[in-house]
Amino acid sequence: MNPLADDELTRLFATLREATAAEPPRSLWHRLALTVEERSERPWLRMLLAACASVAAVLLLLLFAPVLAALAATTAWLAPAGALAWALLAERD
Amino acid sequence: MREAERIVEEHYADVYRLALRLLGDPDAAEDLTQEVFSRALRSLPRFRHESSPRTWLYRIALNESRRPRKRALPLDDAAMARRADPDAGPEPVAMAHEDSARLHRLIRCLPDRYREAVVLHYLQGLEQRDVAALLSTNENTVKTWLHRARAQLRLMWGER
Repeated sequence: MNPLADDELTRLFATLREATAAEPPRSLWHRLALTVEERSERPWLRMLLAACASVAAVLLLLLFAPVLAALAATTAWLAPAGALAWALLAERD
Repeated sequence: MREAERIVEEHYADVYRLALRLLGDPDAAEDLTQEVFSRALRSLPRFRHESSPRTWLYRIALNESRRPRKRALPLDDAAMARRADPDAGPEPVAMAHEDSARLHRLIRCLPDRYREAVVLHYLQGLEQRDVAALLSTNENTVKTWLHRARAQLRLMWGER
């Protein structure tokens, strides 16, 4: 079969353009409306999630406060002890 | 959110047609259109209006269409005819659109860059400089791609 003539190809492009120019289905409009609605609800959702995260952080802090205090006390003892050990070692040399 | 609604309302039909012309399958085109607007609305606060909303949406659509997806089934000739005129009888319209449906299948066999240039220029009706901007190249390259695409299509047409 012979290759398509150039002007015939141009004509076919125009036909194809028309054939694919139909309006989109209504179902698509409904899907997109839902997408927009979800997006418009999200700022509230984000604020709610942020508030929940803050409350959770405070609760965790309160829950582990005694452990953190103990750790802080230990660290407070470790620092002078380390310094003392370092000084003793230095003296041995 | 008024801006989001306005963007969807003004551009969804255009984006759907681009998707249909790129993918050749109405269901895949619907999915792609939804994905485009989903992404666009997510990044709307960062959209700086340096390009038109249409160019911005087209760019997202092209990027999304390049992602691997379930391969679109070719739109058969009868389906293309129904899409063109759902109320018409099957015979005359099917005959009239048989050739354009075949051309659509051949366009989808082209390399990505050629296919995108052909769809944007010949089917969406964009100027060559706009096609070049969308495909991040220059106008001369687009001219070359279109010329080569036409040559390939004409040859493929002959290989029935």
